[in-house]
Parts: sequence; C-alpha cells; structure tokens
Amino acid sequence: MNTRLLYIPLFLSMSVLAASQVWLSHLRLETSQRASLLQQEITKQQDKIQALGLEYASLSRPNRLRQLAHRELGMQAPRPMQVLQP
Amino acid sequence: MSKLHQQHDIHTRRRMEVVIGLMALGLAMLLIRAVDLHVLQGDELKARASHQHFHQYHVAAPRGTIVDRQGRILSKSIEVPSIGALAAEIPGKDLQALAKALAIPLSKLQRKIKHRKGFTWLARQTSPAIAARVKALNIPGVRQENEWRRYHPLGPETGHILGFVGIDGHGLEGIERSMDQHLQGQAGTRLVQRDAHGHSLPGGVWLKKPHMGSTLTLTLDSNIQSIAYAALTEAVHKQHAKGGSVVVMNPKNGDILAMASWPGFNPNNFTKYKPGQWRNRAITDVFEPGSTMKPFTIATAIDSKKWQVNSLVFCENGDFQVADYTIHDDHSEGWLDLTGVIARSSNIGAAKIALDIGATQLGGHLSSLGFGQRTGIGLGGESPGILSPPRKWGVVETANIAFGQGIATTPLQLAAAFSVFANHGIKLTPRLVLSGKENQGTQVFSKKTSQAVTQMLIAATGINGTGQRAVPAGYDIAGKTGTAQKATKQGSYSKDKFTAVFAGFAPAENPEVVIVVVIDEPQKSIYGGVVAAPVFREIAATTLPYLGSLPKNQDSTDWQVQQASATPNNISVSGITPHLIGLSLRQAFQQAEQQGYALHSHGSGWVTRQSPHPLTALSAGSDIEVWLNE
Repeated sequence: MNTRLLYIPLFLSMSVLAASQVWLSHLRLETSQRASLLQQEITKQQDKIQALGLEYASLSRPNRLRQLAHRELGMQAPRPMQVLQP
Repeated sequence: MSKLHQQHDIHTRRRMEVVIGLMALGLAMLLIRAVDLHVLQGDELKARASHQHFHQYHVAAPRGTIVDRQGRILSKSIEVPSIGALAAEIPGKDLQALAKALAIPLSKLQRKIKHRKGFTWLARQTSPAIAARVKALNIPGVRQENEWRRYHPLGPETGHILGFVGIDGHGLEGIERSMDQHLQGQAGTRLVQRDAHGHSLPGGVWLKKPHMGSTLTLTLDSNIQSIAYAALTEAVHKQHAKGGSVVVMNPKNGDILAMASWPGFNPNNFTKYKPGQWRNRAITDVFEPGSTMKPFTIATAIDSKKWQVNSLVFCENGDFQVADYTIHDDHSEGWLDLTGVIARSSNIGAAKIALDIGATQLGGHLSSLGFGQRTGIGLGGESPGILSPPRKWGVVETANIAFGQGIATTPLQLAAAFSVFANHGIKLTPRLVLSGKENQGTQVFSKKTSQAVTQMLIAATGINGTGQRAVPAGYDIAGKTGTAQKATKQGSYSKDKFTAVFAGFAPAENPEVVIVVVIDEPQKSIYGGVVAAPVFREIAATTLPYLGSLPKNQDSTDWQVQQASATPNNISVSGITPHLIGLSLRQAFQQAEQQGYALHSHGSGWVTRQSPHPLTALSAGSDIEVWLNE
C-alpha cells in the first residue's frame, strides 16, 4: 500500500513536467512567431524608411523647389548682388 | 479412428507450416524493404525528406546608393512587387479579372500565359496598388515576388551621367554600368523549416547574409547640375537648337560638378526614349572647337619664348593665303598684339603664330592638354576626339588647327584643357567619383604663361571682346567664344550648320569653376558669344554665390537692391514685398510706410508671419498683413 502511495507523487511530477514541456514548446512557438512578425515589421519599416528617403529626395530635387518657389511664391533666383551671406 | 486422427494432425501441421512460411516470407520481405529503404535508398530519401522539411531560397541584395558630393540621393534601389504565375494553374474564368487588376488588355495576358506551363512573369516591378489588387483576387497559381528597382529622383537632370539599370539589376549605361561591380550587392541564402502543408515555419537561419552594394559618392553637386541643366534646356529651346551640353568643373581638383546634355531622357523610364537620346553628349560627341582653340595656340607661342605678350602680328586686313587656301577673319584687322588676337578672335593672327612656332610644338602641347585622348573619367562610350599626329600636318592643317578647325574635341576635353589656365598651367584628370586621393596633375604651361593667357581671356570677355555676354555682374570672367562650322559627310564645311561654344572660368582671379557650353546647330543666331555665352553667365551667376564666391563689385545700379546692410530686413526694392519677419511692430510699420505699403497687424510682440511672403512681387500701395507673437 505504502509503495503504491509513493508512485502517486512521482506520477504527478511526471505529469506536471510533461505538461510544462508541452506548454514550453507552445510558448517557444508563439515567441518564435512573435519574433518573426516583429522581424517582418522591422523589415517593412526599414523598407518604408528607404521609400520615404527616396520620396524626400524626389520632392526636394532642386528643379522642383525652383519651380515651386517661382510658381507658388513668385520668387526668382537671387542675382549675385542679392546674395549677402552665401 | 486413429487413422482419421493421424490425418487431421498432418493437415493441422501443414496449415501451420504454410502460415509460418507466409509469416517468414512476410518478415523477409519487410526485412528486405527495410534494408532497401535504410541502406540502398537511405541517402536519397533522407535528402528528399530534408528538402520537404527545409526550404532554401535566394534573397537578392539591393545595389548601392549613388549620392552627390553633399550626400543627396541620386540613385537608390527600393523593393517593389512583381506578379508571377504558374500559367497552367490559373483558372480560365479568372483571366478577365486578373487582366483588369493588372491594368493590361485581356489579349495581352492571354499571350503571356499561352503555351506556358511553368512559371511566368505577368508584371515585373509594378506598383504596390496593382499588387494589392491582384492579391485581393486570390487567384490560384498567381503570386507576388519582391524585386529591387532602381530610382533616380533627379530624373532627366542626371540621366546621362547615371545611366540606368536593367530589370535584372545590372547597370546598362552611364555610371550604373561603369561602376556596376562596386554597386552590385551580394545575394544571400536563407533556410526555413516547412510544415506538412509546405508552409514556412517562423524562424529560419541565414546560410549567407545578403550584402547591399557599396555606396558611391560622385563629385557632382545636384544643385549645380540642376542649374546647368535648366540653363542649357532654356538655351536649346530658345535657339531651336538640335542639342547641347554643359560641363562644370572645379579646376583645382578636377571634380566634375555638373555635366548636362540635351536632349535629355528620364532614366526611370528609359525604354520610352530612343537609344540616341541616352547619349551623354558631353563625352561622346565631338565638335570642332573653333576659336576656343586660340588660347592654347597663344599659350604654346608664349611658352616657346619666341613670342611675348606684347608681340605684334599683322592680321592681313582679313584675308591670308596659306598654300592654296585662304583664311578669313570676320572683322578685318591690321596689327594686333596677342591679347588682341584673342579678344578680337583673329583666325589669321592665330594661324600666323602657329605657322611660326611649327606643327611639332603646337601638336605636342595640344596632346599634353589631352586633345585626341580619352580623359579617363570612367564612363563608357567616351570619344577620344580627333587630333592627327603633327608629322602629318601640312601648313594648311597647322594654320587651321590654330583656330580650331581640323581638330575635334568633346566638351569634357575642352573643360579639362581650359582648367589648365585656371590651375597655374597644371592639367588635372577630370573625375566623377569622389575620392580622398589627391588628383596629381602635370604641368603643361608655365604659371607665368597661364597668368598671361588668363589676362587675355579676361580681355576677351571685356567691353571690346566677343564674350562680353558671358559676364555676370560683379565678377571678372576669363573665357573665349567659339563658332565653328560643322563638317558635312562629304568632308566639306556646312554653310548653315554651326556649333556655338563658350569656354571659360570664373572668377578669373581665383577660379572656382570652369564652364564649357556647347550648343549644337542653333537657329536664331550662330555665334558662341550670342548663343553660348549667356548660358555661361546664367550658370556662373547662380553657381558662384552658391559656392561662396561673392561678387567683388557691389556698386551695380541696375539690381534695384540696397546693398548697404547685411540684414535681409533692410532690403528695399520697389515692387517687392519687404522682409518684415523678426521686426517689432513699430519697425514693421516704419518699413512698410517708407515703401508705401499699408500694414495690418495681428497680435503683439515680434513679426513671425507675413502675407504676402517676403521678396514676392507687390504693387505700390498694396496691403501687407503681419502676425506677431510675444
């Protein structure tokens, strides 16, 4: 009878360990998935930064700024004598 | 009974033997199969299983970015979607919707997938909007792949220099081609695990990481490039010319600050242009330099010690016979000193000087200046120009070459040659890629000769010179005009096709830039001094202040600008809105009143905003509104 009682905690411990193992593997998978999603998000944001950098270069191209200044603000390129502090 | 029993036993034993035999046979077959699977086919099956569990794929790396000397992006790769498909798997009923999503006619889509069973591209490097539309349809067999696409934000302005990249990511023209190895990235390999359905599991490892290509910094300045391109475009349109090119170079280190050609093309959309429009005329097209060659003839004469700055040459009153050939001057001249030969652009004067110093000496110097050789700037398709060996020159050739006929040069070669005068007689190799290395030069003319010729070139842009239209207010310019008849296919000179040229440097006393302007077949006027010189002035007037070189004469009267103070608030020009930002309300009222404008204010403190904007056009008596903030 006593010997049988000894097996119960052993059985319980093994069950807990097995359940923990299953839980851990799920956790590992979830974490891995989350890390993968984050990595994808980082890549996406990096791509966005690259695209925005290019868009900035495109929007700030000298020819466009010159045309906008001329058309929208009625400005003209400064003549040499108008430049006081280059 | 016993016999019957005996027979039954035999029957039972035989049945057992058959069963045991069958079992033994089954076990033997299993054993054989196990040996077959584990030993004979083991390696192959293991590899197949591994292939099913793991998937390796290549990850393309982007090309390196190209930036100008200020770090501004000139060319960059970004990831864009491409649409591909396994043609055999696309259901016929979905074709109509797919064609609509791809924004192509159904017949075109059908042609693309006709007779194709494997993978085929439906749209490469397309827009994210199209990719999203296709994805939303969720058609079997259709999938999205990402590819790197090259973008040139400055478009046509830098098209000829940068060139373009093919769909496979390799440079096909310009710097993209010549520096392809430097710019090319290294593709990577990634290993991912797949589930039973073939879907990739999270994670994965890099077997080889992709490496982006190296960044390339050019000597170009995108602001100067834009200024040069705009000035050239305007001149070509104004003159109804066939084309043109401009080179802006720093004479102190050989850096090319701008190199523009017209007609232009947009490298982002290069397939829509003819290959002839891709040509970088500044390095591929040769022209007879005409009178812009005379300073080199004069410099060679002074360097030979046979001629002095004040030596006189008789210009034969406009006609000079050399063998059976007559040389003419546009303006008949008598005696001229060397400065006069340059300033009055006398062909006869230059020819007589060249005949005196001889073909060998003149040819040697022209060769040292880089005529007849590629500059080595590192762009494909560069022409060496035309300079025949001096031993083949007769008197007519020697006389002609002295004033720029019978010799052909590219605009870049001419800019490099003019930089010799601007750099104390030292010739530098023009360069397009910025490097920390010092550009080693070679002495072609003595410093004294260069200074003497520079003074002559200043005279050529003076009040009596042919290049006076090249001079922006406040600066001294050293330069020379050129007007050359174009050679015909028959070997004679065209009577109605000309090349107008201006080459020079500014400011003359401390040169910041050498500028060469070439306008091909101008229609309204043919003269370099009328057609090309104003382009030089336009570029110099904008570039010099940008480079920090201020005009020295600040007493010009026609600028309508008060130069008394260095603060923008004190600039007062009739018809221009005064700059009131930063002033107190009292000061703003004072300024507005002085210039005849009515002021309306909001708030108190300092002016933080005004309408109309400062320095915009405003008629007298108009209202100006200002907003103030404590």
